[in-house]
Amino acid sequence: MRLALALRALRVLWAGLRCWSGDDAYERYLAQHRGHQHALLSRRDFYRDYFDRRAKRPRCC
Amino acid sequence: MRRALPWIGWGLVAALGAGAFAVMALTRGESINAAWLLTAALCTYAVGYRFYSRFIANRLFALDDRRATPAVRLNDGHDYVPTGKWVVFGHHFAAIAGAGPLVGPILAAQFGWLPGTLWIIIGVVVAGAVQDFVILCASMRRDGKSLGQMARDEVGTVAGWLSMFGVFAIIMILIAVLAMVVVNALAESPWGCVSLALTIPIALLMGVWMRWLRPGKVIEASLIGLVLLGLSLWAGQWAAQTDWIRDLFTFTTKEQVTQAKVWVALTLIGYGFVASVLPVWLLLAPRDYLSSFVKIGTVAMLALGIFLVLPDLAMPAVNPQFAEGGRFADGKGPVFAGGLFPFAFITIACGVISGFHALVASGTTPKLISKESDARAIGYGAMCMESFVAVMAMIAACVLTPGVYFAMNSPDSLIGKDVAGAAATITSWGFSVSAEELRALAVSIEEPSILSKPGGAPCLAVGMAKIFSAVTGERLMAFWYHFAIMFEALFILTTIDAGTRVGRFIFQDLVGHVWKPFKRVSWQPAVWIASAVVVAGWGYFLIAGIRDPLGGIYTLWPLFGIANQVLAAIALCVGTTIIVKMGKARMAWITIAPLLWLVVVTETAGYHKLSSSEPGLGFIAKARQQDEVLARLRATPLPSDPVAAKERMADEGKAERIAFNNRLNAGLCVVFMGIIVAILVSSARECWLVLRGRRPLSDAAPAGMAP
Repeated sequence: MRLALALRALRVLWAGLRCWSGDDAYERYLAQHRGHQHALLSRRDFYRDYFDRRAKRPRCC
Repeated sequence: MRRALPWIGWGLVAALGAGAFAVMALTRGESINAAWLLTAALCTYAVGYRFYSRFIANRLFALDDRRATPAVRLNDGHDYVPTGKWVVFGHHFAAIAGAGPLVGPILAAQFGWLPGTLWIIIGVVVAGAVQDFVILCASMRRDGKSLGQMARDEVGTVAGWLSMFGVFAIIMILIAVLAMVVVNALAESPWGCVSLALTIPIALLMGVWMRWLRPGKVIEASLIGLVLLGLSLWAGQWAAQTDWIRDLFTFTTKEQVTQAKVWVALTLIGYGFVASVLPVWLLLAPRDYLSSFVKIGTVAMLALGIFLVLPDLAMPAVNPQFAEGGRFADGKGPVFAGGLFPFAFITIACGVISGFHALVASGTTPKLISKESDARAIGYGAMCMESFVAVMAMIAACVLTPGVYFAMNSPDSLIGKDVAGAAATITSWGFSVSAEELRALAVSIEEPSILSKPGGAPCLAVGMAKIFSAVTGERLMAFWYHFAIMFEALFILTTIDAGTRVGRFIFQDLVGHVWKPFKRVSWQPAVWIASAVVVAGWGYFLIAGIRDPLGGIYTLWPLFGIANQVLAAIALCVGTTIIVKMGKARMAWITIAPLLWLVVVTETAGYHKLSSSEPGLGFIAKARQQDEVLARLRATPLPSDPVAAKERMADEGKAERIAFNNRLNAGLCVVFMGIIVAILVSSARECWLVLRGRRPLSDAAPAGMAP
């Protein structure tokens, strides 16, 4: 019981880390555009844009 | 009974916090344990978050999860993406927390630990976190508009332009001053230089990995990067123990040190330019990952270390030398010039209230929030966490004895370059320290000297190393010192490259208003020119600061503080106007109170910097002093001996340069003070028109409710 809880917590943490870092960004992109007609970006092209957008965020002092 | 339970609990939290404050206030003459500062801080944040932020969330903005956020309504999978609360919290915190909250408290520790700590803890719950939260909510209700756009739309065109200019100016000064911190920490340190230089090839490797080898494998690449980062620390140690490398970093005269600093500065300037024009995936993105992971990891480690060790503070609560009759009663402290009021409140900007955060809280973060109520933890909560980082930095600095603290943070023009002389000078200030003690500390961290390393980073690193090695043993002191130096330098470099890039976008946008093609972010000539202008801007302040013996951190940090508080005042003016336009003028005190305090603090500080007759404090006085030096030099004929003549010319050039730079700083100061007045007037006018019914109320919370 306790082990299952710990495992679940770890899984949530891992999912959060992947989402925060953008590790799963392409999977989310595919999921969002599933069923759309237009051509999807390849993994490589997607990440070029992704990094560009991420870098536009200001970084404070 | 059930109902009363939470209230009893909160009563206890409040009482505990109040008790900790009482202990802090009543401790005089004996050392205090860090536990009291931590307790006061955590209880204050808890009460502030539970009650004040809830009040703002419910009564002012009436946050409602049924109202669809921009991320939900405009979800495009790119800029607008509904994201989980804690992930957005992570993004927001990584974006707002940098070197600022670490450096400011360390510099302000020259007044003793009490004034700075009180300002950090109390200021954040009533001012800083409020600013971030209000701007975040306002932007969230306006499709994630940026601060500049909100200023233009809600206050007026002039305010829009002023805030854009303010942002640009503050970025220039921010980068210059942070680069100065790195320069001071690295110029004489082979270990630090080699370790930091190696982070660039590490980032390049990560970039190629994430873009070409294994596209998008961000965590994997970051892990590789972190392992290599550890190795680079080891390589730095090897370099520091290798004779010929050590010789390269050994300087005998002051001129040589200055020259070395100029070289490090030029390297940073070159780096900033290259990082701004290279594709993002190659250098900027991987560095950002590296520094974000290291930042969060190290802050967590510092917290753990402080809680485990619970060190006693060696610094006095209030430095008696700043009081009436003390050595620094004229306000000319050795770390930076200016008395406790207003300069303690200028020096600690980030960590209490930082205008820069309004840029993150508008424009970027609100486009990710999926539920309105999440804004409370993200806007108010993340800022409390940043304030806690500032408290930890204060503790780390005050673990050092005042003698060591002043030896590290005073410029060498005050204490000299030799250990015995420095120890004697500082002892004469009333803080006894022996040459032996200073020498032993330098040996323990494997650096040639610890004297005069202004900028906070080395001081914090020694404090952190002391705390960490209290857990792991004294043997690792040198390792922890360089770990801390690299950690700070790493994310300062990230601010330099990201800041240069953001500055470039703003400059392109500003010029783009006059000449359209310049706006295109992909047009190479514009990219190159704008990047060059930006690095030239901050590079100028950086090099000028290095060459002026009392320049650098001593002069630039207060100017940076003023700039940052000006931006905060702009944000609070925008916030106040928005509150009035929401028809909630009766609650406008929420932003007006911190705004008034900031106006008083910044305008007083600006006035001191302009009008003080002390050359160390007043820009104009310093410029006049240099004019006199120049006139005196020119009064005598040029010596016939060519060497002496050359020296004379160099002295004249130096005096001219320092005079010019101080007039430039004075000019900037006037501009900042003017911006505050202008924005206050236009914001007050707009509010007046709304209250008189000549402008419509405009509560921008229109779009549909979520189903």
